[in-house]
Amino acid sequence: MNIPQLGVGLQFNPELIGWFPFFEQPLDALEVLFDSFMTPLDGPGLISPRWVEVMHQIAARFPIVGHSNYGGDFGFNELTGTSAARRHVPLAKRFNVPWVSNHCFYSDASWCNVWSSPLQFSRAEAVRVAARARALQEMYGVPLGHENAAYYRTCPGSEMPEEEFLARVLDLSDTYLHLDIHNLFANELNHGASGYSVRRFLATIPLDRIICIHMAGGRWIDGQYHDLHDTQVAEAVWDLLDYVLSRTRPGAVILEYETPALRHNERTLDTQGTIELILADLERARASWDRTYGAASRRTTLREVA
Amino acid sequence: MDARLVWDTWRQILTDDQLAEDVLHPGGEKLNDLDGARFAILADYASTPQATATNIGMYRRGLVRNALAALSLVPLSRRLLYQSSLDPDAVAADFTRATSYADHGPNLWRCAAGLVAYLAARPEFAAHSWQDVLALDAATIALARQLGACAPDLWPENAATRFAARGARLDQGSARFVTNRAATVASTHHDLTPWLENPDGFNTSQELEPAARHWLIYLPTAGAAYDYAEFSERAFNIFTHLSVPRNVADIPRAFPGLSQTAALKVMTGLAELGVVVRAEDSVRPEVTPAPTHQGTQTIGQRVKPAKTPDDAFVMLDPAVDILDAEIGQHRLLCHSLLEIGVAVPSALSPCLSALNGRPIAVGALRAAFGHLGPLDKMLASLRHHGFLHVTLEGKLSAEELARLRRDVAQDRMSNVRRALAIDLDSPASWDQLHANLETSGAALEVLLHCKRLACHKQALAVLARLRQAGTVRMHRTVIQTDDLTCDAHTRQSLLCLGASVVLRDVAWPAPDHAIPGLADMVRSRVAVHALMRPDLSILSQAARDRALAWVTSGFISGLWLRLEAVALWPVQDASQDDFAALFGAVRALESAMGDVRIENMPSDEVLLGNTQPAARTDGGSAFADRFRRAYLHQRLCFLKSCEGDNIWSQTPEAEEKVVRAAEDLLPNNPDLLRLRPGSVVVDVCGGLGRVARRLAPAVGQDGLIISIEMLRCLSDRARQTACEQHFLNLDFRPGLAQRLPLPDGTADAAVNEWTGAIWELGLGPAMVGEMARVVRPGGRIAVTHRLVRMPLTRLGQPWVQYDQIYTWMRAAFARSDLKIVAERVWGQTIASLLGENATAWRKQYVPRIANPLDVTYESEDSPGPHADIYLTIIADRQ
Repeated sequence: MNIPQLGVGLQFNPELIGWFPFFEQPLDALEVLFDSFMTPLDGPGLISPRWVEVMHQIAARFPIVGHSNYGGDFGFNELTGTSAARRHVPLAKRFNVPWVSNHCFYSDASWCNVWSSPLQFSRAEAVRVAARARALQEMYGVPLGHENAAYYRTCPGSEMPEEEFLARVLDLSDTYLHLDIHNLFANELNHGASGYSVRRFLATIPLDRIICIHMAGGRWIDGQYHDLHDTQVAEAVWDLLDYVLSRTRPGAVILEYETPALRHNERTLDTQGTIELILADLERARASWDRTYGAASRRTTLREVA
Repeated sequence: MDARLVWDTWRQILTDDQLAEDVLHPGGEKLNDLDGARFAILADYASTPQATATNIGMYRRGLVRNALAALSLVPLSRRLLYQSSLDPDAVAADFTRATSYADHGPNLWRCAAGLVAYLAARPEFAAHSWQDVLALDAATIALARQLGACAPDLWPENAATRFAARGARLDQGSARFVTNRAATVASTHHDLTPWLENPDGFNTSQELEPAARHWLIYLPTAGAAYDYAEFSERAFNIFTHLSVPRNVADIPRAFPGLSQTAALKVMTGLAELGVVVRAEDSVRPEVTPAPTHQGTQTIGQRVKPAKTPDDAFVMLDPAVDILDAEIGQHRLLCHSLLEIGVAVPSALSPCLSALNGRPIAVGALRAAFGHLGPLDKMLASLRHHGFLHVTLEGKLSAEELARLRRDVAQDRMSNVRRALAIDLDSPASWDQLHANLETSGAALEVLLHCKRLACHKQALAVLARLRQAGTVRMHRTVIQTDDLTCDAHTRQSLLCLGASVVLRDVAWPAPDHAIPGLADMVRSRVAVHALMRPDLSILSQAARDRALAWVTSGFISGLWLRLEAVALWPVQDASQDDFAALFGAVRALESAMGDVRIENMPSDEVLLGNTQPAARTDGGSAFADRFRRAYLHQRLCFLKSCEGDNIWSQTPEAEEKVVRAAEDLLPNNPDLLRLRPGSVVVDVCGGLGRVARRLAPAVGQDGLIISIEMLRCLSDRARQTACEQHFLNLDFRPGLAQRLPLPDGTADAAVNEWTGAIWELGLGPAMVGEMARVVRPGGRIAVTHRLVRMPLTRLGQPWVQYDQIYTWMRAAFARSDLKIVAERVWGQTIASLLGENATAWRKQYVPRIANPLDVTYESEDSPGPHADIYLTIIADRQ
């Protein structure tokens, strides 16, 4: 399957819509969350009426890449009845996305327990999950990448490190990896003492299967580090980005933010301050990309060079 | 550790406060009650208390966020909540707790349905105008969910375009028009115009004008927002009338005083919006499912049966019995494997024997029997019901037969109501029940078993809350148990669930000791049945009388009988006559008691093809088979004999027309019965449930209407309609007017509305006596006699039936415990039945392979307007 090299983009998170100047940015890609724009599964239609116009505008302006949190992709219900099959697949086709990524969580007909339910890293689940992943990728007709999760604890019954599990799944499914570098960082902070290692993770997973990278920030609260996406991209994550970019060639690096008021130096910023930090992160990500792949390697810079 | 079990267990922790508490603070006893695998999973979560607590908190905050997000689908309710003095987050949190932390995930409409229902039940929103707002949103939600299950072939916007392209004219010739399924109507008691015009900015402290209004709600296209329009009374009536396809010329006939021009104007307006379409543009799901043997058919698609080619062979399944009896000009066929029956017009019966035994070429069949009637229709219909197989060979191998039967079974699964049996005492039962109810699109028949009701207080409470919130739907819930004792909360949960309780192993014909918990249970108005295993003494009148006396004195709803042939005749020497005598005795008991069924035989709902059959438990010996077949045959004949040809409505849609809602006396004047929110009403001879449905709003969510109907299959239809329309305060019970299964003084009111048979049979006084008994002093009873469809030209002549029955009614009310407080004569004028489909108006229960009533009434003895006249006598219970 063909993966275009787009460059650096942003996640089109509903929390940012209405105030962040998306249209003024030379973004190489915009990552759309299917869950946020689809109609409820138990009603008619595909795109929620209030998002139709917005989706039309962004699709005309940016290459859209697809992402989802709550597809039910790896749950236990019949795959054909999931949000993934009934909404995400047709949305992916509607916006002609070059790839789609999802999360390595259980969900089924539940959304709120997604984040507390990382997949069970077991041999049996690798086989079951890989079969669903392969079937779903066939439905999409474009590469499907699985995002490594940030979690507060692993699923009972897990019997191998996450990276080994993911490598097994990819081996069996012919699907791809969507690497969230901040999730690696968060997991090491929370689970480093019990053996989690970013270095080992990156040494184990097939780096050539990475189709997209997520970058984000988070915070410590009550002794746990949370992947809240409410700060600038964490400093340590930038070093990891350089490391990964130099060893593979993903389709895009996507930055994630989920609030109009980022936290910075123990303060909550106003909208303007937040915009400035996001723009600074974008610049920094572009610089990383360009350092690795050259100044004319992103979608928005290809034409300038030509 | 099995990943599925881990996932299910984790979801249980998330939704069970007590279990979550036990996991976060181990040391309680609950964990120790669990089996090994689940204990290990819980212990694993317990080993990381901080992470587990974070995850539980995250889940519950997510639920609150989702509930509020669901409100964005219903801006009126959203505005109502946000403008109130309540904290929306706190309300949403209360809602998630009240619904046991159920997560609806991507099914956001279902979440909205639960939340709107929850808001409607909160005292802060009890004002009538706000109830109107919530009701309007509830109607929008119902429309959305209906469209989610089955989209229309033509959305209103496209229909409007097509109408314009056809010259925006209604063809007055043969074209028939019908409402678009993407549109619905709702009525309110206030004018909501200012709110609808400004849903996000309306000031909710502004008074809404009290005025009856009708609203059209429709979705122009799948991707559009919902649109609202106010309907005039006339437009409302016409729109409602078009729920079945009508010719334009028929409309004025249905509404006396409506000119052709006025009708055309309204119809044109509706067609311009695309909410009324040509019948051929709107493919609707049919009441009777169409043949589905194409295999890829989707819901609601009407598939014309392909004509079977001449060189194909057809034969009846070897398990099909052709019954000898002829009832109502029909022969009955009984499929002894599927355990269902169909009726074939007697005229076509000669070809049944040709189809029996071995395959016959369709061409030969057509040549021999084609002249008898709609042969191809019969073949297609028999095939659809699984009675007939089509092969390309002149013989049918056992393997081929097995394959064809498998296909039939698979097809039937999508057409019948699913039944779910769960043992509550088994550890995984709750998850299994919850998962099935949550994921099933349709309402299920739920049969629960447990040793002691008291052990399942919490589970039943949770289930009741989920049902009340609209999160789960059950067509009917029955709980079999050995021990009825439980506390008042549990009994309340059973009532909220609309559940009936079956007490197992009660001695036939009557126990010799008081049954613990029984009196409390019936006093709480929960329907209780006793499961007995009669011996052959059931053949004696004396034994049956003893059973009847015990059931009556204990206010028990009825009996479930377990009749096993091998136990009754250990040497297996019974003849068909012995079987017939036994079933005759059961029928006699049923006629005297009302609600009697044989527990180990297919229910009427199964026999009529509405419900999935339960697994057989009799081992399937040849003797047991013979016994079972004998039962199927006699019961089918009985059901067919209950049908009739008089024209009292037999579908809920037609029933709505017998009395139009706007003209119905008691629902529009609930004070006549002194009904209040929370009132309990007994609806005697409840039929298809119209009276119950219409009185339901007057008693509110905390009230209850117990509808008693003699015919079990009508109770089932009423239950089905009420379930589809999301009524939660209606309980439909088979039973008799002259033996109401409720203790004295347990109802606030009792109503009866009937056409006269009950009086002509001489049962009227006994019924009034029972109504007076079950109503508390200070309550009221109302008995209505209805005289349906009297031509206006004959009003001057004596109203024979009316005059006579009025005298009988007065006599029945002459009792010391009743004092008549009002007599009301009321009614409506209607057009004739011209243009109506006959099926909707005739008593037909057994599926037919050809429907002789699938005709439109085209002539009438007394053309012109008719009157439906009603007399209601209302009395105070002294």
